[in-house]
Amino acid sequence: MTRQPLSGLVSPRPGRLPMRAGLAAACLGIALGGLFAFGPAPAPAQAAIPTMTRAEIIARAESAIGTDYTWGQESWAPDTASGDGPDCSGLGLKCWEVPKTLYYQEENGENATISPRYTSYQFYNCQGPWYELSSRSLLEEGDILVKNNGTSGHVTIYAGGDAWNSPVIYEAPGTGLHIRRISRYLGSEYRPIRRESLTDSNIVLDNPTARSVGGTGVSGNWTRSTNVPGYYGDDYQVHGPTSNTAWARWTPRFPSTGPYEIFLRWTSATDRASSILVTVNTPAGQYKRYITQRINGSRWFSLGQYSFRAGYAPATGGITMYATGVDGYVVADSVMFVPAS
Amino acid sequence: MIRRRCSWTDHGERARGAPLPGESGLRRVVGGGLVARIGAPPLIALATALALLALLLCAFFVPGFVLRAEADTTVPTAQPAPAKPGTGETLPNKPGASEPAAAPAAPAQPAPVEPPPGRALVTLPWGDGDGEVGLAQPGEGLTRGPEALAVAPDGRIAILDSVNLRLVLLAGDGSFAANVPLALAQPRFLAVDNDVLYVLDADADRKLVYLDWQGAEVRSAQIPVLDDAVTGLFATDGGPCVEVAHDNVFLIESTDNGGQEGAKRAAVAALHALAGRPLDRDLGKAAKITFEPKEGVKLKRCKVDKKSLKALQVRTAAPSLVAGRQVEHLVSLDGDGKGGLIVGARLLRQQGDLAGAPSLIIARMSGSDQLGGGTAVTDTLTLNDSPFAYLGQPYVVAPDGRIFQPVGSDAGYTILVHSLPLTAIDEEVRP
Repeated sequence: MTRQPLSGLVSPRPGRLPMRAGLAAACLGIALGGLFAFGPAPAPAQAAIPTMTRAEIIARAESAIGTDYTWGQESWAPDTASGDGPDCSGLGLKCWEVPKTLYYQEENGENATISPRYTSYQFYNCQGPWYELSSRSLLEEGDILVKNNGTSGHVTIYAGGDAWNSPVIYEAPGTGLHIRRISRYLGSEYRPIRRESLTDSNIVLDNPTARSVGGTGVSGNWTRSTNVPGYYGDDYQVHGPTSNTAWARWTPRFPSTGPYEIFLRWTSATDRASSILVTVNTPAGQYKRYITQRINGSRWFSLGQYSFRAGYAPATGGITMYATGVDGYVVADSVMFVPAS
Repeated sequence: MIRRRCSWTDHGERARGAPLPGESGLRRVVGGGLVARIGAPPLIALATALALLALLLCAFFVPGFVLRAEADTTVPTAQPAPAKPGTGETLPNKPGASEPAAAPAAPAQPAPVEPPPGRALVTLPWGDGDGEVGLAQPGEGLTRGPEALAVAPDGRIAILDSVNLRLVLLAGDGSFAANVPLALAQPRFLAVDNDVLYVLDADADRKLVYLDWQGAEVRSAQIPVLDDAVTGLFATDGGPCVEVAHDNVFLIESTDNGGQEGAKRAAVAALHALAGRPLDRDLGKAAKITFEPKEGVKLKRCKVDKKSLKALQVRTAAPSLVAGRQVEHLVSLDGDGKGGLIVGARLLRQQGDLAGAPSLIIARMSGSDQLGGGTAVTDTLTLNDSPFAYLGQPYVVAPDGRIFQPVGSDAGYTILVHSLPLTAIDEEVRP
């Protein structure tokens, strides 16, 4: 186990940049056009989906393992391995965060107004922000394999392998079965489909993929914000000081055993907490670190190197940020794991 | 719980960015559906110009903006073609998607080959009674029937009726023999020999159960946590073998003695690594096979020391499974019961293929040398997919080399039996 003190700042890594500037300009153009528009009101345009990493898709799928297949549902309590889980398309759309309004942290039934609700039909027929690959040989983890015959269908999330035409997948198989990660044969009726707006760099998990605890309601008292620029992705989540339990935890699926350097990202301001507890769960035990978010914002901040085992294990392979007992706002924006060997 | 909503907002072609009739592609780039409201051409031009100006400013001041914008808008000239439901055709990719490696020039189109229908051994209706097997049909989920089929050396057949959580045993002629309830949550793998049936739940219980053909449990083994997903289960004279991630194969040694002599039941099994998939029941030969689109099929066969399980001799080959067609994926590798190999693969679809055309090729490499047959394909068989329901592997090779293919239909679960030609080069033909 390599233990290092907080090593300070590093240069921002290549990753996704905030899209807001460009989109704002595009919206300006649209708005100007709209000034001169007339005629019947248009149908609402499909909302843009957020960019996300393949690591986020896999982490979300892992967090659903063990929950019960529940027809018509798309939410689950992450990492509980029990209780109502999603059906097959619900697993796919929540892991893909489509539509954007569907947040990962939502507990069962919290969001009852999901529309559109993509099903295997829409996945299969590319009626959404995704497209079909020309061959299964192009599959990468986080893509999906889907079938639909017009009356029933099935969605699986590709997780790797396939020398034998039996890929490793995540799936919600059916009533009476749990969400699982398995390898099994999938016939040619399954189409390989890829989500748009994927980015690939290191293992980056954004705030929507953090399991967040800290109050009542959707995603607890963690709220989404864009008040202070410099965040990763489309926004960050923030929690005020509290005496109650409040934390946000990111758990990746590590592709291999070995050392990884962990970087945290936040947006700094004077109202941020000056000393925030961050714990790193490793197979060798839990390490405690304290950070201030009044400085060093909008860049990747190194927490040092830690060794992890391959796989997904919240208790021995994740990082948690606490908002309990602090003196200011705590920002949980994103975390990055970089293989150190 | 949220129930499925019937009201589906149109997210079809129009919402994906296709121009409306009479709408220019340029307007779609900058304005999406809102611009479609503009009716007067001069105003359209003005709005478009302003929007383009804004975009140009973005492109100038925001590095990477153009690239990002491509993710959320659609340039009509590069519009991905819609998929055609039900045809299985592959269509042009969206720009930016990785393209497949350039394929070598394909030879002349081979003449279409009709798959042999096979002999229908039996059709078991869907249900949970005697002589029936279960079918689960969730609207959103895996339509599945029995998830495994296995044939003993003496010809008896076992079906893993995973929906009803039981085994259905058949005589060699397909007649119903018995049902055997299973106390496993998610059994998915089955292997049999003349004395023992092995049933593995690798996902929920991580437990391997040993049963006799009367249905009595003779022992069990807890499978240790594995690094990756289980992909196969085989019966050998040395005991059951489990395959992980299509790569590593382990002989399972159970320390459970069936509850006799006070031994603890379901002890965690010991795993002993093998050099590959066992090709014969006495663990004398093993093989591994891999496929990469650019490198083709690579086969490694080895003779195995039965005591140490170590590979004694290794021979590699790069067989061509079928002339004139490219392989997309391998499906399975088995011994043919006569010293040779049987390799299954899915063929890469090519232009001109009809929907539903045979896509599985089963190639036999006959031979009886100590390393498991020759290196050239001597017989082939083509099969259709059976997309009605998930039925485990698309086919199973019986110990005598026959191919058992489960096929689902409204009528039930049918077992087709195919035989490769019996005039292979290593077999004696008498008048």
